[in-house]
Amino acid sequence: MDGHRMMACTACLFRSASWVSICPRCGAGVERRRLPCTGTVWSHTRVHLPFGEHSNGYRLSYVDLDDGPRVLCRTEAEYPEIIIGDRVRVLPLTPSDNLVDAAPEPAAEALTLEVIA
Amino acid sequence: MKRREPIMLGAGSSDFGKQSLNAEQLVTSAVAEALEAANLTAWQVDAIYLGTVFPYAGTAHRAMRAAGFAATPLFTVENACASGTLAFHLGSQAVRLGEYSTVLIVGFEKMSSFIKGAIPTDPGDLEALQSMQLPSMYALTATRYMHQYGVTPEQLAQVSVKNHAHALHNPRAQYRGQYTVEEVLSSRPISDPLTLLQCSPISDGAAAAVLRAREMVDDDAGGVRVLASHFESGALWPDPDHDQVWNWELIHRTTAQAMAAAGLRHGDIDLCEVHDAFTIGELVTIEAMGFCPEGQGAAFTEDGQTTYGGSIPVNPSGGLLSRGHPLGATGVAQVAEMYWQLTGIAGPRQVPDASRGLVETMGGSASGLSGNGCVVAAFETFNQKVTTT
Repeated sequence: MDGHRMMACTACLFRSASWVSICPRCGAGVERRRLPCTGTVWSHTRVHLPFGEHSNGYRLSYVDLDDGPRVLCRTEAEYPEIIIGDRVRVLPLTPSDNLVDAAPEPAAEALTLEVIA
Repeated sequence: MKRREPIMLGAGSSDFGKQSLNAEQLVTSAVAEALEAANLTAWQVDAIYLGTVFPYAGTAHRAMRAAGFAATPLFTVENACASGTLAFHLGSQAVRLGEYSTVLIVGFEKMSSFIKGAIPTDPGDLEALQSMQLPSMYALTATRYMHQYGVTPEQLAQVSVKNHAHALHNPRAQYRGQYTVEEVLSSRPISDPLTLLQCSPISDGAAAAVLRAREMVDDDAGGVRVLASHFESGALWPDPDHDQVWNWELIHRTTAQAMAAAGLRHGDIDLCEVHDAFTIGELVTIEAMGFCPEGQGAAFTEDGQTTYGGSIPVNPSGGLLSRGHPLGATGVAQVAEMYWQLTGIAGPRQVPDASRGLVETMGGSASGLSGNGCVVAAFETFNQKVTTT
């Protein structure tokens, strides 16, 4: 898998992990495009509230994908510390390239990350 | 078109907190107090604008029936945390534009019936796939803000210390207690860096306000002028041209519009009631509203500028952090506090010589936007004998 399939404006820099029909920034058309998996951590938090199947201590991080949107990634409690500015690779929590391609929303999948630098 | 100025003639609220009272009882107590303060009856109200988030479709109508209303047009609106303030904005616009002469604004939420623990994000948002709950959205903002501006956890906690101290004099507040920075930071962790005492609690409550066109207000009536109110919806976030922390852009844009419409400058404002659902929210808000430079909100707060005697007292009610945050009621409760402050009846929490104030409420966390919607309203003490249009 060489990148996440997301929405990209054909005329401006707008990128989105959520499905859009036209670009809400400039009104031009949009297309699904594979965007890089790499990005930079914008912020993070360790969560101490259990939620659904998740117990305390998981971490949420906003990652600015290279030439892509800001996406939220989840790492489990045991994953090493993450800091703002970390270079990371964003991955589906449950790898399934077919799922990504077929989904009505281009990134309707849970994402995680691994620090690469 | 001739525009008419809305005058707030009365306000009221229930006590806030998890409680056994149902929606009908909460709404009735708030409405009765507001009507009594306005010296009006239900029969003199032309329309009701009501904000609420979680109830079933008929709850608002049933609650208003219990409060003594039937066949009065009832508009129910939702805008997350700013639902009550959006109801206020729409009601004041209805008076200003001449659709109605006397309107009742109501906000309520029986939140303990619907929410256990933290408020989840919309399951349709991508963030929900990662188990995002509302406190984490603000926590992500706090982490970024602290990194960007070199703010310490102790400085962040000052907001909680200050607002809880304000609430000591608010008998309707859910949490009244004197806390130290150390106690705030050592309270239960919720989503780093936010601890329990930095998060607004789940609450039940209702608030109400009465607006009437100035032409219909008696010469000897007291009240509060609604100088302006403004509503804006969220822009794309992040903005590739100007990357601000979440909410900043929307609050800034809404405040600028409201203050321009009111003809006010920052030096004219004596107090604010703002959306402090989490400590970081108040810091971002006072900066976005322009009361201090970007990144200076923590130092501004630590210096005492946002409490009594400071340049702009913020949340003398105790704010959402202390009063509680029943979503639909919150905005109207903020407006009610402004009524009490600007009519000089706020008691021990009165901001001395307060004559002009702003209310700001930020609502919602839809994915990829700087917020769902924001309302800012500007108020001034009304004295029929000396004010001019």
